[in-house]
Amino acid sequence: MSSIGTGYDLDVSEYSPEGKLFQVEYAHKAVESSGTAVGICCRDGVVLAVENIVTSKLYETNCNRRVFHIDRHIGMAASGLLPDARAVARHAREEAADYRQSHGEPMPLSELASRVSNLMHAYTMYSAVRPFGCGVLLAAFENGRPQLYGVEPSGVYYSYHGYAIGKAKQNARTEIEKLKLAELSAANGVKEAAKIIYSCHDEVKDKYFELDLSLTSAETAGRHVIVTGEQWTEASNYAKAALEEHDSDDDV
Amino acid sequence: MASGSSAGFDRHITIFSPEGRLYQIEYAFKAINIDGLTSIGVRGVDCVVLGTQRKVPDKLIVADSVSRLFNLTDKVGCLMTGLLADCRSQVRRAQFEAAKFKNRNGYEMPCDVLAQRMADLAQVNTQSAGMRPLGCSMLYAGYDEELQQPMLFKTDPSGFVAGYRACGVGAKQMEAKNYLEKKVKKKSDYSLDEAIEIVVNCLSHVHSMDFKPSEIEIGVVTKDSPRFRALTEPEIEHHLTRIAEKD
Repeated sequence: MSSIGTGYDLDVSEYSPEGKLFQVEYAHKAVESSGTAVGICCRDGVVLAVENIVTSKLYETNCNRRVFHIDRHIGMAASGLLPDARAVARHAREEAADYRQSHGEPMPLSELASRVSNLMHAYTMYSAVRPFGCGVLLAAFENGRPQLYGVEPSGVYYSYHGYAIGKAKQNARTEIEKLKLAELSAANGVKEAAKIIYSCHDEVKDKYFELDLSLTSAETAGRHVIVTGEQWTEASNYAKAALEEHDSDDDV
Repeated sequence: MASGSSAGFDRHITIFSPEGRLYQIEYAFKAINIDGLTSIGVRGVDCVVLGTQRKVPDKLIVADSVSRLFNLTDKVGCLMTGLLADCRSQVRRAQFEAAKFKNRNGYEMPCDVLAQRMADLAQVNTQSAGMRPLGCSMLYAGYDEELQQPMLFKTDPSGFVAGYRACGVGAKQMEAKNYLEKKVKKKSDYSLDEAIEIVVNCLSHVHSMDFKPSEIEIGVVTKDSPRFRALTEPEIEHHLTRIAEKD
């Protein structure tokens, strides 16, 4: 069984002899070579964090965030090709706004996740288009319950307690499994998520990155809030301190 | 048979090979088996039971969100095997078709009519160059009140549809088929308990393992309870215990 398509990988409407869709698998690779995105369901909220790798110091800070507001109560984090992520966000925003208008109430996250998954899957069906080269995490705090959905480029999606995609997803997932999510408060979750991002960041390969953080919790009254200012600095410092402690442990 | 020469595209898009084969459809069938799951459906005298293995791929996933049993209408349910994204897409389409039918005609779409409709839609994908067949197979279960009969149907990527007394789809399809054929030969008027027993035993047989209640999912529809529903874990445990004690 070959791991590259050679000959059966030119269209997404083409199966390989083993029944694989190589274009979809390549789209996953696009996600895997991008900065890590992490989502954590805490006791009273959901935290999203992204390792936003910045390729030039000439850019204005925070000009290309990888965390998006989808509606007042839903947030999205993305890993992979940023333009593709923005396209998915645009569709998701339309769906959510449409739902609000038709039904008179905010869109449930499970329904939005289903629609986003359907959208991403549709782009794996026809030769005239290519799959989205991004994976997305959707978060909301609904009816007192934190919810996190992860959608892959193939359209597969699940509901998660914690999820990570991107370069260091394996390390990040291991770190998430160590956390006691049922007891973790969202405020502390923000710091822990920052710590995971910093610890998974590869200093050698990608020197400069921005930490995109967001929070939807009981404290924010269910609103999706992008973490900035003092809370961001606190989380960032906590993460850096934890990293130094870890490094100094290594030295001993 | 003399092999004619093809331009080489017959493996890449759904056109005929010189031998009259449609390679892309054959590859789509292979895609169904990639996950390694096998689904079983058994029709009883007044019930239908669908069952499959339940694999939660990751510890961090909310286990409740992993299921391949879906309600297409209140009464008709399905069990999906194959590429999960394709499965969900097809389920959504089936739910839409059933709702559209009810809206237009004023009564619930019967199981067999829905199966035929989905098969017709699947066929379209096999005759268009820019599209691919969906890599999933669907088992439909319903109790038709007009005909007073339980119904079990299966559709596949090629657009073929048929009603079954018992069927299997997926990685261990052949083994399942052999097992079920032997059972049906002896007796085919199963009660609900007997049908569930056959589904569970068939799954255990083809996978060569005994299942815990959380590792298996079962959907049922009966004459007395014509709404398709998934059995809860305690109910599954009750059946597994009963079957184990019987042995």
